[in-house]
Amino acid sequence: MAGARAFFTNLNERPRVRAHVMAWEANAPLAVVLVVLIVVGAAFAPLYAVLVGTVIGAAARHQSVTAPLIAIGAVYAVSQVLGPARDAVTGMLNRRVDDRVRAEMMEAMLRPHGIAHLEDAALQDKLELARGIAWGITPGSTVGGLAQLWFSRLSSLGSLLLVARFRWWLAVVLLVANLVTLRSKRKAFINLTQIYGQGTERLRKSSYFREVALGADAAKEARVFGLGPWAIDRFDGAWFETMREVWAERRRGGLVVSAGLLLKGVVTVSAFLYIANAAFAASARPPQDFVVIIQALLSVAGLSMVLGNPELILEQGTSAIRPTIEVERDIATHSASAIRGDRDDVTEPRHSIKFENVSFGYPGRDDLVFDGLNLELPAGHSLAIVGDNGAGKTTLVKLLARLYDPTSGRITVDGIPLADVDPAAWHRQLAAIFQDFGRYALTAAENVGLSNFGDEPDLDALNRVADRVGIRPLIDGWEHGWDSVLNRQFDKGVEASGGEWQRIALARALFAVERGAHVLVLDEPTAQLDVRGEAELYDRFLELTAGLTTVVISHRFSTVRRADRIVVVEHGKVCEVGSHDELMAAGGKYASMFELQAARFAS
Amino acid sequence: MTTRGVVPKKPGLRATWRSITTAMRIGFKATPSRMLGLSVMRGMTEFSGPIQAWGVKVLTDGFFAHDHAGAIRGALLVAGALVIGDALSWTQISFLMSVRERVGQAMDRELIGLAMDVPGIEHYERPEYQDELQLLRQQRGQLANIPDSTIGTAGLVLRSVTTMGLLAAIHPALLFLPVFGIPAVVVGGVVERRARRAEESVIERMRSYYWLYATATEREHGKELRVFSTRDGMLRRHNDLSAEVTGEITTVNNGSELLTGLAWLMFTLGFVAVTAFVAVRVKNGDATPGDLALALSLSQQINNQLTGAANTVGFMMRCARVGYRYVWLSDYAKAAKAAVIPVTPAALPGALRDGIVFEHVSFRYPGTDVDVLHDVNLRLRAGSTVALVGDNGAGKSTLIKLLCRFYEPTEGRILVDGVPLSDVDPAEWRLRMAAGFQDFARFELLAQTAVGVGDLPLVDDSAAVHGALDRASALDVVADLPSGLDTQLGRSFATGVELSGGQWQKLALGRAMMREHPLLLVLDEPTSSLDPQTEHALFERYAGAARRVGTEVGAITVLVSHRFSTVRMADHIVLVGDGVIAEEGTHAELVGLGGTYAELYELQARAYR
Repeated sequence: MAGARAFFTNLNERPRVRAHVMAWEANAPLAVVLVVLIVVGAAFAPLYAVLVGTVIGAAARHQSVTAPLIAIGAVYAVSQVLGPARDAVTGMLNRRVDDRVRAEMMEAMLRPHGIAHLEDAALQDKLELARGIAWGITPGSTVGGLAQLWFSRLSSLGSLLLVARFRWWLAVVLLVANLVTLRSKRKAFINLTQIYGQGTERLRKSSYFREVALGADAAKEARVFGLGPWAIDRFDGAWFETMREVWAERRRGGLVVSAGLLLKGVVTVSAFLYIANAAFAASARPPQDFVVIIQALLSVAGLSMVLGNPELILEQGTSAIRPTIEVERDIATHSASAIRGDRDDVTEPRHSIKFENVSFGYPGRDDLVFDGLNLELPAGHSLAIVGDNGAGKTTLVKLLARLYDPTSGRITVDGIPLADVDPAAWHRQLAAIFQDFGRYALTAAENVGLSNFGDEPDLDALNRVADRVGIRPLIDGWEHGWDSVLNRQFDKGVEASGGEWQRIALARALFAVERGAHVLVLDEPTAQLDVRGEAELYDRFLELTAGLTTVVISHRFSTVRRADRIVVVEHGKVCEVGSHDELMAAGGKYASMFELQAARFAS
Repeated sequence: MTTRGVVPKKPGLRATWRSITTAMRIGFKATPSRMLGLSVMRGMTEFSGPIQAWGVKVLTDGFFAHDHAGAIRGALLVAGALVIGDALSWTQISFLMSVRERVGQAMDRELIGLAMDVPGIEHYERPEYQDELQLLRQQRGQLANIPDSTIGTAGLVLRSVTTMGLLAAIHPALLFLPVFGIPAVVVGGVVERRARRAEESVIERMRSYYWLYATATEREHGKELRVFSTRDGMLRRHNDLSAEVTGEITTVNNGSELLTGLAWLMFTLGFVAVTAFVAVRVKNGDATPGDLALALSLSQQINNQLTGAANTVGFMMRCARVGYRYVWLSDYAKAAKAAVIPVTPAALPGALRDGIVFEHVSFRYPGTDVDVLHDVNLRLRAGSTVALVGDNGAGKSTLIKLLCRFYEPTEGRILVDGVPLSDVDPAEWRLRMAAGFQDFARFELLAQTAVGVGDLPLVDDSAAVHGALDRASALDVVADLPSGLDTQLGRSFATGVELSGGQWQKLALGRAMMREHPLLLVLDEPTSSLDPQTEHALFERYAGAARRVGTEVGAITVLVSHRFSTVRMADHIVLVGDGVIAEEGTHAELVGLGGTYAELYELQARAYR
C-alpha cells in the first residue's frame, strides 16, 4: 500500500504526468470536454482519407459524386469548427492552470513564518523558472502542447489502422520508425531546454550588465566612472563564454536526431515506393484504395514532424513545471525546521521580553552573530540598541520578530518561551518600521493599513495615524486621497519622496499599534528625514511610544538618548546597559561614542 | 494603465517598417551567415507542401492511368519532399534558436550602449521616459523575434504564390478559392483587435496581481509581510484579481473562437465548390483524378496558410511595436548626445587655479515648468571643501547633478577655471572627477571589480583598490569577506555574499576614492548609512587627504550632508533653500548670522547637550 502510494507520488512528480494532472485539477469537466474534442477530431483524419479516396474513385469511374461530396463537405465542416472549439477549451484550461500555479507558488513562499527560505538563492531561481521566464512558455501552455500531442498521436494512429488493414507489418514498421524518431527528437528537445536552464545562473552574470545599464540604480556612477564600453565588453564576454558551452552541448544532441531522421527518411521513402509498386500487382485493389493509403501515409508522417511540433512546446512548458514541483519540495524541507508553536494565548507583554543566553548564526554560515546574548526589554518601556555597523542590531530585530529562531538559548515573553507561541499570533503583537521598509504599489490606505490588508480600510484609524506622523495634508492633497496608488505606473498613481515614504512607514507601524500591537520596533526610523523632520519626530518620540514596549535602533543620538534604556551591543554580546545618564556617568563605550559626536557640536 | 509613454501605442506603417528594418539590420550584423541560412532554409521549406501536393497528383494519376513509372515518380516526389522538408525543419530549429539567441544578445548589447551612451540621466528620471525604458526592459525578448517572424511572413507570401500557381494549373477558375477565405482574414483582424482591447482593459489588474506575486515571493519584503500578517489578504487579493481577469479574458476569447469557427465554416463552402467543380470535370473527362487529389491537398493547405497568416503577421506586428520603442530610444540617444557633446571640445586645465563658478544658473527639469534652481551664482574656490546643506527638495542634489553634467543648466553657465563646462566633452570632464552618492549602486560583481570600476584602468589592480578602501576607511568590509577582494557580491548569484546597507555604502565610498587626483570630488550624503564612529574616522582621515590633493591639483570637494558635525568641517558652507543660495560662509560666519543655518545647527546640536 505504502509502495503503491510512493509509486503514484513519484509518478505525479514526473513533469509530464503532472502536466496532465494539473489540467485535470484546474477544471475536470473542461478537461473531459477537451478529451472528447480531441478524440472526435482525431477520428476525422482516417475518415477524411477514406472520403478522399471515395470521391476521387467515384469521379474517376464517372459515377455520381454527390453523395461523397456531401459526406466530405460535412466532415470538413465539422473539423473546421472543432479546431476553434479545441482552442477555446485549451485556452480556458491554460489560464486556469497558470492562475493556480501562481497561487500555489505564492502560497508556498508565504507559508513559512520565518524568512530563511527567502534567502535561498537556488529556490529563487526555481521560482523564476516556474514562471516560464526561460522560454516565455508558462506551465499552463502545456495544456495546448498536450492537446496537440494527443491529437496528432491519435489521428496518426487512426491513419495507421488504415495502413494496417492493407499490410499490418507496414503499419508496424512505420510506427516503430516514427517512435524512434520522436524519441530522438524529444531527447534533443529536453537537451535543448535543460542545457539552457543550466546556463541561467551563469547567463545572469551577463544579463546583470544589461539590468545595470537599463536600471536607474547605477545611472549616476556609471556615467561618472565612464562604465559604458566596459559594461558592454563584460556583457559580451560573459554571454559568449556561457553560450559557447551551450552550443557545443546542442551540437552533440543534434547528431542523435540526424540518425533518427535518416531512419525515418529511409522508411518513408520505402513505404511510398512499396505502395506505388503494390498498386500494380496482379491482384491489386482498385486505385482509390491506394489513394486512401497514400493519404494515410501522409498523416502518419505528420506524427514526428518538427516544426510546430507539440513536443517542443511541451518540453519548454514542462521545464517550467519541474521547478514548481521542486519549490514545493524545498518549502517542505524548510518547513521541517520551521518556526512554529501553538500557544495563541500570548497577550501584550506585562513584565518583560527576555533574550536568555541567545546564540544565533545565519543558516549556511559558520560565524555567530550572537554568542550568549542576554537582554531584557521591560514591558511598556523603550529600549535603544546601539552598536557598530554589523554588530547585529537588525538580526536582533529578526529574532524578536521570530523571522528566525535562535540557534540556542531562548527568548521569553513574561516567562513564556517565544518558541512555543504561534508565530502568527506573535506577529499580531508586533508593529515595526524596518530600515528597508516596503514601498508598495498599493493604495495609500493599504500602505498605511498593511496590517489590515485585504479588509475594509478603517478610515478613522488611518486619519488618526496620518495626523500623528504629519502626512494627512499630503494624502488629502492627492486627487484620490487614500485611494491613490503609491506607484506612478498604476492608475491613480502618485509618487512620494523618500522623506514622505519614511513617514508612511511610521504610520504603518502606528496603524498596527491601533490594531492591537503592543511591541513597537523602530529600525532607523528617521534615516530618510531631513534635519527638521528628524527633530520633529524625536520631539514626539515619547508620545508616539507611550505605553508600548519599544525597541529602537538608530545611529542618531537624538533618538537614542530619549529611550528609557540603552544597550550597547558589541561582538555579539551586550557590553553596556543603562539610561543615557547612567551610561554617560559610567564613561564606557556609549559615553565615548556620544562624546565623539558631541565634541563636533561644541562651539 | 497610465504609462505616460512617449511612444505611440499604434505606430504607423513607417514606424513599423523602421522597427523591422532596424531589427533585420542588427540581425544581419550579429550573425549574417545564420540569418541568410535561416532565410534560405525557410524559403526551401515553403516548397515542401506544394511539391508534396504535386507528388500526390502524379502518384494518383499513375494509379488510375496504370502508369507504373509515373506512380514511382510521384511516390519519390511526395516522399522526397516530405523527408527533405522534415530535415530542413529540424536544421531550421537549431538555426532559429541560434538566431534568436544571437539577435537577442546583439539587441541587448545595442540597448546597453544606447542607454549608457547618453551623457545625461533624463531617461532614467523623467517619468514618461522611465516608463518606456521599463517597458523595453520587460518586453525586449520580443525584439529577438522580429527577424524570424519577418522571414516567416516572407515565406508565407512565397508559399501562397506557389499554391495559387498550382491551383491555376488545374483550372484558372480555382483562383476564386481564396475569396472564401476573406471572412477568415477579416475575423483574424477582428480577433486580434478584440484580444488587444481585452488586454488593455485588464492590464492594470494583471500588473497588480503579478506585482502581488512578485512581492510575496521575493526576499525584499519577507520581514514586513510577515510581521504585518498580510499573508491571507495578499493571497485572497491575488486569487480574486486573477479569477476576475481570467473570467473576462475567457469570455472575450471564447467569443473570438466562435467567430473564427463561423469564418472557417464559410471556407468550407469554397472547399466544397472547388472539390465539386474539379470532381465534375474529372467525371466528364476534362481533368484527371490526380487533379482532384491536387485540388483537395491545396484547399487543405490554403486553409492552413490562412490560419498561419493571421498568426504570423499578428505576431510580427506585436514584435514590431516593441521594436518601435527601441527605435525611439535610439533616436532619443542620438539627439541627447548631439545636444551635449561639443563638436570641438575645449581642453581642461591640468590643475585648478581659480575654481568652479556658477553664473546665473537656472534649471528646470525637462517636461516641467517650475525652476528647481533660480539664478544661482556660486563660486567653489580651487582647493576648498564646500558643504551644501538645506531641507530635502531644496535643490542640493540638482546642483550636484549639474556639476556632474547629468543635466545641463536651462539658463546661465558653469565655468571651470574660466572654461565653460558645456564646451568640454562630458566624458573628458568625468575622467577628471569622482563621486559617491547616497543612492549608490550595489554592483554585484567581485569586490575587487565593484570598487575598481571607480578608475577603470586600475580595475584589476588590487593594490589600487586596497588603497582606495583604505582612504574610505572601508578595509574592514573586505576583511570580513570570505575570499577578500575575490568575493562575489550580491545575492543574485549562488556564491554571492550579501552585504549590509552600511557595507555597500563603504564600498561605494571606496569606489569614489579610486581616482586619486580628481579636479572635483562629489560626496552626496555618502555616509548616511554609517554609524557616527565610522563617519568620524572617515572624515578626520578624509579631511587630511582632501587638503593634500587640494594643494596639488586645486581639487574641490563638494559635500552634501545632513550631519552638521561633518558639515562644519568644510571651508565653505552653502545653504540652499527653495532653489536659491540662501546663506553662505564659514561655519562660524553662518552661526553668527543667526539665520536658517544657525537654526538647523541648533536643532541637531541640542541632542548632544
